Amino acid sequence: MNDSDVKEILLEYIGGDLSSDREKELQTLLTEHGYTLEELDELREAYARLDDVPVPAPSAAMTENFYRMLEEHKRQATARQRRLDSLLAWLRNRCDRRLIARVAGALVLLGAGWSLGFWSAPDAHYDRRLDDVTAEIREMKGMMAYAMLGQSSPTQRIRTINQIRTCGSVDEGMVAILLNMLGDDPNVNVRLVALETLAMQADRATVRQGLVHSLGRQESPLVQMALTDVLLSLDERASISQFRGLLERPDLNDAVRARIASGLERLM
Amino acid sequence: MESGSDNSLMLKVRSGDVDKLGLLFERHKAALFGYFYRSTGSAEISEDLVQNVFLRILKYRAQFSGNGSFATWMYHIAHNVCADHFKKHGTGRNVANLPGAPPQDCETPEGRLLKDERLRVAEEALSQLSTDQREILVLSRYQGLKCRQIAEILGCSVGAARVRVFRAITSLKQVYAELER
Repeated sequence: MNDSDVKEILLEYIGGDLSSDREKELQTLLTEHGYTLEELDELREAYARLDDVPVPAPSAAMTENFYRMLEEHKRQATARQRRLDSLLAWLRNRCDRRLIARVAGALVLLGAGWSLGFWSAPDAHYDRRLDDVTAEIREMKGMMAYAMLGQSSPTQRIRTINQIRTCGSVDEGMVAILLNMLGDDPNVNVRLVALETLAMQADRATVRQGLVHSLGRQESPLVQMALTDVLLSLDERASISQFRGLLERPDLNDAVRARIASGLERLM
Repeated sequence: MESGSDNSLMLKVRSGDVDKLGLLFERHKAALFGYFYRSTGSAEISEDLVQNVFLRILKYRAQFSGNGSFATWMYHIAHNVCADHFKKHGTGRNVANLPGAPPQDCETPEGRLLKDERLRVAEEALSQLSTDQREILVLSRYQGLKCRQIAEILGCSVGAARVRVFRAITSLKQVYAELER
């Protein structure tokens, strides 16, 4: 016999509901579980004394309030029903059945579309987490590239610049380093890749200014030509004086001279 | 199902015949008032809470399935109303407002005094119990509900309800012993 069964018999005795055929079970239980009949009688008396506590009758106001609440509820329900009936009557008078069927059909389609969209839409929380992880990876790639720009091998430096380009988050510090590379790097290819990367950031004023200032420092015709093309494509009028300075240099490559001359005409 | 039973009346209320709620109110108002009165000790609060229960019955009438008894469903709502009240206003029970038993013609002054003292102790004992224990005694003793119904109202197993009733009676006996020492 588990605890619940034991309590069942004890409560039947305490509550005065124990049938005569269950009395034997109680006797066995008292012996087995160490209860005494005196203890149970004390509990029985304590339980029965609860009946001593009187309860007053509720006031008539409680009943009045209840029926008032019921009437108010019925009045509101009737008003709601009347509004619904008048709406339906208005619809019946104004619209023919085909129109109602079309509106109902449109509503069903709208509901179905909404449900479909709701269930098939990607999890926004998942997308946000994915964006966060992607941004962190990009940032780490950028930081690694930052540290590798001082490499001695031109190939390594070009690879690093490409990494900066793909990381997608080029900050002002990186722009400054790229501008330095464009101006000072001994390798032409490195300077060309730096120029290409900077051209992608040309919406920044610092980049455009840096490109203009760099023009006068370039000796390589390849870099001069590429830089001229970038500045002309940006319609950068601030570069006019730099172009004129270049044209005065006697050692300027003929192809570069021709490109600058035609570009100057367009800019002016 | 009998046509005048609580369940059939409530099913009619559910299907829109809300006037039938009046019959249910008349049948259960006194017992429900007693349930709240013994829990709160205030007639005024108890009347408000009874009103609240019938308002909820009206509001949630669609949820009545008719599978269980109406009384159990009603006391389940009453239990929630009572819990909300205690959550909002504290669990204290008002003993001072409780009325004494009406005097009877054949009573001697000594008998009257003894009776009043017995009543005072019973009131005090009920007040000293925890809200849960007081409620479980009210449901089992005053409302005459079986452990199976109490279990449904409180949302526990029948075995747990039996153990809780037994513990509440044991606590009551201990409180009596302390008060009468």
